[in-house]
Amino acid sequence: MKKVLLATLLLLPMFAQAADNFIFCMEGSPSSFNPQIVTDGTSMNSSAQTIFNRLVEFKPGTTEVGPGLAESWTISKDRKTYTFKLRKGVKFHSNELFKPTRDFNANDVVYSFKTQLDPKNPLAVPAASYEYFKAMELDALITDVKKTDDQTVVFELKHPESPFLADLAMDFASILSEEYAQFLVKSGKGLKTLETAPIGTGPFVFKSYQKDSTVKYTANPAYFKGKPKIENLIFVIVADATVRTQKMKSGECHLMAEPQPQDIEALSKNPAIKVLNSAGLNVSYIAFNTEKKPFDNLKVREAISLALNKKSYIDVIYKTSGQAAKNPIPPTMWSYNNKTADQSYDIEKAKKLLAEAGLKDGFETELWTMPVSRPYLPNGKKLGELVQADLAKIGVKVKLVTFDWPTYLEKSKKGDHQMIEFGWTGDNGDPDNFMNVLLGCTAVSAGSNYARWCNKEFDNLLQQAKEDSNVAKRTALYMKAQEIFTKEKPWYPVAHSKQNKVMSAKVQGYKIDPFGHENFENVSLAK
Amino acid sequence: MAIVRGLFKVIGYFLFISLMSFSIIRLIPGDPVLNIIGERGASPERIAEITKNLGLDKPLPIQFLKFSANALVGDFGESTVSKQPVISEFKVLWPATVELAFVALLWSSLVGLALGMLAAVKRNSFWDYGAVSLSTLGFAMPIFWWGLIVIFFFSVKLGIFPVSGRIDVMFDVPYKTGFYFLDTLLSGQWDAFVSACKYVILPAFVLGTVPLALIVRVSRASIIDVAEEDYVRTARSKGLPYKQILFKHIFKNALPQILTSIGLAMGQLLTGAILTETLFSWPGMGRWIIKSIEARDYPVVQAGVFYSMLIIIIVNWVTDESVKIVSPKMRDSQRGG
Amino acid sequence: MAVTATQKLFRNKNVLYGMILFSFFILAFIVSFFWTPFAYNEVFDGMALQAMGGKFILGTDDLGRDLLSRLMVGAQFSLGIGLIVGGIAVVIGAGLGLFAAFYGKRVDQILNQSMNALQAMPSLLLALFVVAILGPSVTNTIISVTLVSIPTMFRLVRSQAQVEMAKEYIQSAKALGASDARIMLRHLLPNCITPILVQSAVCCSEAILNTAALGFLGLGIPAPYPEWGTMLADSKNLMETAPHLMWIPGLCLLLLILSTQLISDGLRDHLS
Repeated sequence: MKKVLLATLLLLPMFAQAADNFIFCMEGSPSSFNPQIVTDGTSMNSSAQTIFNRLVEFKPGTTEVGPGLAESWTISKDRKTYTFKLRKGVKFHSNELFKPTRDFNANDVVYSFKTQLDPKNPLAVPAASYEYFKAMELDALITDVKKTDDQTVVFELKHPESPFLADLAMDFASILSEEYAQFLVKSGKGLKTLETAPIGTGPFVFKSYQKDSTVKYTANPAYFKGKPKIENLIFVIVADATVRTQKMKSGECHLMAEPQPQDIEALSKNPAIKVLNSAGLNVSYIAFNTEKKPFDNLKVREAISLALNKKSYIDVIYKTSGQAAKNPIPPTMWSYNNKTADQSYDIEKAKKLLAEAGLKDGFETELWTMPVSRPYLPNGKKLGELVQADLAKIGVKVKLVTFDWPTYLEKSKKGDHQMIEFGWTGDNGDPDNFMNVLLGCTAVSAGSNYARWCNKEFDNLLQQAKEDSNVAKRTALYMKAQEIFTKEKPWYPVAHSKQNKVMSAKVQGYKIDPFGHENFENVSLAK
Repeated sequence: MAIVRGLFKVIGYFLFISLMSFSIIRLIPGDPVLNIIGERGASPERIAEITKNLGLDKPLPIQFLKFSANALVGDFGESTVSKQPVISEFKVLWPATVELAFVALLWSSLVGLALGMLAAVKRNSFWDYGAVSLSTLGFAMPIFWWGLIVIFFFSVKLGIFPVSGRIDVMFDVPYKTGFYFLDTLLSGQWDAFVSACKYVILPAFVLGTVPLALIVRVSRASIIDVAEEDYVRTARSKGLPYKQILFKHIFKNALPQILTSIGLAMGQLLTGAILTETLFSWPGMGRWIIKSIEARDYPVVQAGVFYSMLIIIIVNWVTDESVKIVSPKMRDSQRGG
Repeated sequence: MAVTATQKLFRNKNVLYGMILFSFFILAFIVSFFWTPFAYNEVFDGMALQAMGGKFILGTDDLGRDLLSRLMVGAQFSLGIGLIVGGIAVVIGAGLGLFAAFYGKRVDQILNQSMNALQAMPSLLLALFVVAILGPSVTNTIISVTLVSIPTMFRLVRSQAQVEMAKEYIQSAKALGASDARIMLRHLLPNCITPILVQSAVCCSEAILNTAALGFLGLGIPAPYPEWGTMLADSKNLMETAPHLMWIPGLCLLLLILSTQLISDGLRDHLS
């Protein structure tokens, strides 16, 4: 009997797969399916990108904004009023609880923004903080959202803001159904249901979610851009990168999230697998805490920068999927300054500079290493170990310090560190979203300027650039800012990592999203 | 009187468990609010607003009273990460851990008992040395390494068993009890049942290793102990068939100790589950707690600690009681860890 | 006399094999302070993931550091922590156990209940919390690992001492007016030495295991120190490209734990 059972176990095909199933192996569980509330990539892929649409959307594979639920828009002369013309005949999904009685219209747009603007709105999710909306400071920017007729919505802004359209293309600006929210309140199910049973207009309809296991979707036959080619979309949650690689090889995944740099070479040799890559919108860096001695001294920052061997970091940590960084913004972003000097590697000069700074015998310091793996820095511990070995050569004794992620954030936002590893992935493709968020003077008190570096000249350039709308003018300002950055060295920029996308050779129509999102609208599988 | 004393004891335990689960996560530096904010910045007002939304702005004693009052009725609040009621996540993950632990305990008890008996009966034989060496090795085995090796051979090299997960993703198992073994059969999906079996084999094999070592050792030792007692010798000299003596006398008398060892093994399973679940990406309680500590998800960690302490206390109590029932002699003997 | 006792002890095969294995690690441990093939943290450019044999006897890790040197220095942590924790657990656990048994009543109750409290949580979870609260460092690892190993030591010593307390010679010593400390140290302690010896070896092996488990879960001794559990966690991602990184540290860990367990088993057989 036992033998028979064992035999059945071994003979049964391990992985039953139908041709129209598409399996994406992702790295974590989504925290919620309400795109307005979530802040992490996993949750956005699981909600905004699959189930929902936005007024305007990034064109696939670019940072360019195109029409979404809005067919067209006009911007007033003073650039404070935006008027959107909405698409007709867009249908919301239905689920076991709810069948929509009307098409998408202006009420849904007003509802989607009013709830985020005003937490007291009766349809706002109780105790929700709408983190992303507020992190982008839209609550301070938008003064009103009005419906003029069913197909027209008007946004009023407090002041002109160049990245506003791009902000509306971001995931938290997804459009939810007002009718569904009202139904949930009336039926007593509560608005929390939005987080477990989402209703959107997007290419896929949410079917089921099992924590730490799977999320399942089916194609939306009534999708306004046409029914997607994938019939069943399945997200399998595999937290461990090694295991994901394994599953990719055994054909259990059609696409995997966050492959490890060291596996890329072997995977690309596999005939059943293809690897695509593109530049990512990110940067990793080591910030010097300029409020602390000796890092307040530019000579020390220069000396350390000269003693670090960037090439070895790229070779060991990023392998082929990284590009050495010299500016705070990635080279694919407009206004990237190609003329700033490359960081050279010169130990003798570094020693000389240290001596000039009065630290001939070196000094002792700490480097905080990232405890979590991020696409911009896959292994912070390793970077730390390499930096430690490099700096020992100029007599700087580095103690590596790490905490788990929440502690790391708490202490570094207070400025307890000396040198620290960090990185950033862009939200909307605007340089302001890198330089101002990470190096602006207000970011010191907000906690995201980990160099705690406030340079008036640099900051003025950023403020001018933010309010201007002329791209050429803005470019010139940001170019100038990068020169100051290169001269002052508040950071040691490490790398811009490429996004590697590992997928089955059968996958067609996949485009890499510069923001790192996954979108399966146009993807199909060859037979 | 005994009832009142018992009641006081239960209240004492409850207060202790809830105080521990409430305070231990709060002692760890790192703020759940900043974890939500991540790499970006936030003004003090924003931080205050999020803190208020999470209910962390109230004074600690109030928070504690609220927590323990709610815990009493099984309400642990909402996860700060998923914003879902902790209890609803628990309902899904808890059966996964129980299922894994059950299979691990089942195979290790059966194999452990058999090996222990074999070793005791055939003392100083090949079987005895084999069983004893196996048990010594099992005790010394760092199970996270053992798990790596098992994955390396069975999944990576041979490809016989899946690397991680609970069931093939193609199956839709409707939630009834949360136990896949039951739910698959209840919904009549035989293939899904087989798949669930396949997925549980490797992690249960790894998780059962240390309990196996313990059970082999204890059952062998206690059977040898009993076998040397006078009445067994007498029975043997009377010429009773050995099999009959073994099962009727020796085994019955060795049972309390063996049961205690299985109880002890259950305590170890909880620790083991943390490592095994992490290693095999098994969607259970152990991994859930570890991940929630990392995210400072206070409500989840509170619930996780609360339940695991409750389980340990209950398991200890049940082990003690069942020993008392099996062996009245031990009723007044000392309680030991 | 002493010689014959030792000889007798080594006639026990478990102790013999255990000691041989253990002294091998002790040797590596001592040598590592004076000499390793290379510096454990020296990064050799372009030499990452070398296989075994050649210039680097056991190969290199993913950064290009010599594995043998790292293993040897790793012994300082695994073995060192094991020995220290074993020692501290003896002093605190046994001390408290004697105290509880000697004074009985309230003292006993309070101590016993606090030990119960320590054991009410899975030990690894407790160790994890303690390290998380104090922050990862060598000292804090030792503290957390010691904390979880005290209760078993306490219990064993306490129950043994309780048996002794009931005996006549203690009562007569009391009647003769011997001080509390004298009775505990001169009379109780020597009679509890067997369980203490056996259990300290057990504590040592548990400490090694727990340290490695913490390292494996990413809360171990901070980089760049080569702790075996952390090395194993790192090797997981390189299982296929460089399996030696998985095999060797794990094997060291297994053998070291095995040696301490053989010793404690042997001691138990020999002394009882």
